[in-house]
Amino acid sequence: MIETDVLVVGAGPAGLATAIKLKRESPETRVVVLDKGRSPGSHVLSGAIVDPSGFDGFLTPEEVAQMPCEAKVVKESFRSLFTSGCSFKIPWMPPMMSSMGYPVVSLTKVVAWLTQIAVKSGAEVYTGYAVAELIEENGRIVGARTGAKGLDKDGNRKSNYLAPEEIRAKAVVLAEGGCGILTDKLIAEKGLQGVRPPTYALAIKELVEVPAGTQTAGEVMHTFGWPSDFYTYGGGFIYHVSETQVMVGYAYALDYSRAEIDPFTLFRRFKAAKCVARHIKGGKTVAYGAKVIPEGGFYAVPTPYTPGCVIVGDGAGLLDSLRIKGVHIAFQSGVAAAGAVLDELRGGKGLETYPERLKAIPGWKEMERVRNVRASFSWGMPFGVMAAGLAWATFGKFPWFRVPGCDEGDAAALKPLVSAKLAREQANQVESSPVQPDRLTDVFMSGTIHEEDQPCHLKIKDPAACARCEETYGSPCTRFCPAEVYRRDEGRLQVDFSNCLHCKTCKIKCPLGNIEWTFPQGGDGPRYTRM
Amino acid sequence: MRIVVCIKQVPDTTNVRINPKTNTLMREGVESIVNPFDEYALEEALRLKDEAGAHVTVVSMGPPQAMAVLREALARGADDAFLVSSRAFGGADTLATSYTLAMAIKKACDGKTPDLVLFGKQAIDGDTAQVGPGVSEFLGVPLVTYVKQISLKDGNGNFVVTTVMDDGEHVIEGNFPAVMTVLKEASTPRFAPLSGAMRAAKAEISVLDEKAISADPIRIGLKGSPTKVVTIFPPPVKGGGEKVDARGDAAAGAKAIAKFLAEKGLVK
Amino acid sequence: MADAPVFIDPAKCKGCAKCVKGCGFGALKMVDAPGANKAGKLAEVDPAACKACSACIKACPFKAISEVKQEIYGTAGIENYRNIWVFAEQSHGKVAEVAFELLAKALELKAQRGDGAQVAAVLLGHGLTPEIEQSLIAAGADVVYKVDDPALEDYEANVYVDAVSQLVEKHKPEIILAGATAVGRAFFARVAVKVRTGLTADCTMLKVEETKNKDTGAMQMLLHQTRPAFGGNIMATIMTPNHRPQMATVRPKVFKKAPHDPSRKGQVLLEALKLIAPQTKLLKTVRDPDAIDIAAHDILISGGRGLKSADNFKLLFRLAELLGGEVSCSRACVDAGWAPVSRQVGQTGKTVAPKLYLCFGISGAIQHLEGIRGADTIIAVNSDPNAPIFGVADLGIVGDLFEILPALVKELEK
Repeated sequence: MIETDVLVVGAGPAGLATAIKLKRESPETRVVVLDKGRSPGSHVLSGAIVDPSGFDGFLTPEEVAQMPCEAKVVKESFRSLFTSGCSFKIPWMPPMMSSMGYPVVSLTKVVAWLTQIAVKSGAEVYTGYAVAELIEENGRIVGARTGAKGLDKDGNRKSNYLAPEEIRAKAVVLAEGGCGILTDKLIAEKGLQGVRPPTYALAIKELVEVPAGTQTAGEVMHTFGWPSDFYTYGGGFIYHVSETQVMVGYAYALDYSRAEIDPFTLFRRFKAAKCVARHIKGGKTVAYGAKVIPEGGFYAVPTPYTPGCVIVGDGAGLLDSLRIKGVHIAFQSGVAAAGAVLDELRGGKGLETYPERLKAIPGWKEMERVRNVRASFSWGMPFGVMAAGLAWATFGKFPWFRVPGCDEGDAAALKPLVSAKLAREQANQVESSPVQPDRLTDVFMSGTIHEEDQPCHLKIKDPAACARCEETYGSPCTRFCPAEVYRRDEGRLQVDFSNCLHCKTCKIKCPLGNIEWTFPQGGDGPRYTRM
Repeated sequence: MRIVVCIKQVPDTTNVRINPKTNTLMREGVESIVNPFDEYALEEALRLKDEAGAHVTVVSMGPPQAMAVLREALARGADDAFLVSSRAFGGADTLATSYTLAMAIKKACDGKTPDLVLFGKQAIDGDTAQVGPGVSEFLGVPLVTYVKQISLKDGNGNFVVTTVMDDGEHVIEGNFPAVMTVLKEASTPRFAPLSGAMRAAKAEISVLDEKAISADPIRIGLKGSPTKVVTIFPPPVKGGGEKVDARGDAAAGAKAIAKFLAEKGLVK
Repeated sequence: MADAPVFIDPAKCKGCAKCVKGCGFGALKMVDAPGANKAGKLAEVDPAACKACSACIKACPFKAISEVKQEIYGTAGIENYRNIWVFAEQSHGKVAEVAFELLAKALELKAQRGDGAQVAAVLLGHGLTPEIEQSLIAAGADVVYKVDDPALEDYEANVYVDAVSQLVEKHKPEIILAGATAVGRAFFARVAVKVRTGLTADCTMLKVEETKNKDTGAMQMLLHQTRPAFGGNIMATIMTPNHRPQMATVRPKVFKKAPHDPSRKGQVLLEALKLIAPQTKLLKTVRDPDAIDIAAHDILISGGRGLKSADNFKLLFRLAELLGGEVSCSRACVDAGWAPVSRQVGQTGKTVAPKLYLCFGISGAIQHLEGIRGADTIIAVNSDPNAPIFGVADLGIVGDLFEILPALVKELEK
């Protein structure tokens, strides 16, 4: 049995910030960080323009200067799209949306770099190990168990079977990212839900290589509107990370009601829009990925503490739901968690103090200020924009009450399919090209790979329910999955789990809650290197 | 019983591409991995350790970042590891590499010849499959290639191995010491347990340079390499071939294929 | 940078980084050097990664990079090495086809040299009949060096190494070629080390040309050896300027056989060598008829989802029989239960590099194409004219495979 002082589950921005801060405050504390990705950063994906205030408190300015970052934002714009050819540039950049001077980064690379810092600081980071289960004793989380490896597709042990290993810790920090599996389970079991259920967006992203000399490094653009509809909070981004590389992505809120929607197709349409296409002209997609963003914000944040365990980062829903920025808040939550953990190890009130410490971070005030924006958007775009303006102008004082919205959860928001709408939607496709790869080609470029001979990690709880879903909703999983994992083949639902990007959309959006997301073998999944 | 396994860190070649305009290797976004064949060689060694208590040493020749593959091997159960690294080894072809590794193996085993030296059949970047045989010559030890299974006999002095040849599988008997190259048909490599990874993270790995292995300076690196890479270029672009529309006329399609095959000399 | 093969003159370097872009091995990088030039950067070479291929020298517009003359530690008496040898691999009296292919290539090289070099075949065995050496002469050998010894009855790597090395020491061939078979690739590599020379494996192109030796400046007839590397993602041309013999192995079916000329005359020289005893003993050979190794076959007939049923999939087997190939498939067929995973080609199946990949009803998703990247010739039959497979096919047939497949079988049966 393995023993450590602190176990951090997930080596993303939040988990690593916790580990780095802990080791720097208390070098003799043993900190073990486990991540299910194959190598540091391989399951990490984001835009990303990072608010540099996040680094305060755990990295020195010299270290921040060394962060892998090819450009800082030098030119920004904000556009409202009406149709593919028609858009309107907001003439004046809303100050709360401005990110001038912020670093434009590949979060994958930043996390790989942070991992090195964590290891140099004395933390132990092990990748390729999925933490599959938490261990609870007498109402307290006392450790965790890794997932088994070497099971065949029927669940039998293969010749290289590796049994789950137990690791005991005085404090467990859950840093699993958006829609973390253990985190969600813990929240449900311990009744830690926030005021309303979490709501997510599916973000789909590509790295496009463009000819040199055609684009300006540091130019960024955010869009909203088309191809999302009036009621769905969707928007895109184009970030020029260098002269020859552009990050282009689209985030679509998963509380959408129209069952015919295919977010991947929306992403393609977004890329084909006139004002977007010119940024990737002559280019070629070289990398792809997808992940969910916890957009619920302030009211959706769960109680991030239960005896023995605290929750940090996206897993705790910590995100500025107006700017859609969470990396800096993830860092701040990691620092706060480190403080609570150290207090615990030194015999104080300990982890119990974490929720208060979290409320004291700058990011918390940010979230509180924009707490009504997301729900307002569910009433329609103008309401969302109004709420955003009010939040800014009145520092969150108006509206003082909680605007209702996003209260049922994403799955419940889906309405039955209208087949005529599906036919229309499917007929409206974008032609393939080097910057418009088809879904399978994109999946290939995520590097995702799973051992084929292992139990399917996406468990259909009740196969009969899938037949009912097909009748009512037309199997939306075959459309909302950005990796083409789910397919209807001769009346059966085929699950090609090997394509899975670990984005968690299926767990969130299956209208019958029929998909259970379990852990595949550690090390499997996407292999992002520069997302 | 003393076993040495030689492993190599290689780029994941499924992702390496050459830029056709500049003839340069596009390395961005390409990960480094343990050469897949070497994982099988290591697994055979670990099985012999399980079966007969063999001492397993891993050796890797490469730049400092190759430490990562040695730690992975230690995590899986190898007993000790050596990194053979120095700028003087740079530019080595298979002859110079075989010499360098042979000297390093002798050093790692305190001047003695190990009972068994295992290699993966080939490295997926060089694709030559020459270093295993080359080292066997420098060590002066018999060579057995394309092994998929090793069994010990007679108090571990002898072996019976199954090799995969073009005409089927050969079951071969011999005595240690020997050098063997191992195929992917061999036993599935084991996973490193977390406890193993933790031990490996703390392990001391010695770095051997040209002085440590008493290498003759004219036989290592570029100086010791008879073969020289003169140019690299992208492989011929596939496709853009003829397209025949045989909708409605299957016979025409069939004839086009038959003709093509005959022209290429592919029909028996 | 005294130990690097190239020298970058800091006085001439302008920091333009063109050399960094031109380096195929990532051996160059720019370092900060304020004041050295307008760019404030100098190029620096990493001797560990540099392969002395001269790409940077060519790329530099300011002639700031030059080669450092290396001491040559080559084979002594290099001028005494003559003639082109081919290792004639045989097993139980049957010469491997690749040996004939290489003899044809050797004849070409002989003509390219035009200096009277002879072609010789090396034949090892025990109790071999005269037909064998005659077939080698008919295929192009001027001389056959034959070694007949009980130790050579069965293939044993260590005895083969001993025999061929002794012949090389005695007769000093300038070039030796062998087939890159399981036998050739193994023992030949050890011979190269034993005689201290260079070997290039799996060559796909060979030619002899007057080339300038970069170390001595002299012109030499050198063998240009071209082969794939990095899993087939790049091609490299390699030479062995200062060591002899120049050795190369070549995969079967890369070169074509020449027609046999039974009227050709040649010499058979019986070499009596004192050989070491075999170091291992062959107990038995096992041929498993059920074992399927699609990667070992040069001709693959492959099927995809377009075949629609297990029965249709079976049609592929007749075609495979006629062409002397093996049946493979895409993932869809394995998922559907029509074929075992051992036949699967693709990113999650096997990677194959056959001479011919003839596929039916395969759309060509990139995950599949990854598995056939090394295929020499691809012929595709698909009803969808926009199927991605046509982008890589050397011959594409758009049509109904259910009609074309039987029609093709009929054509080939003729």
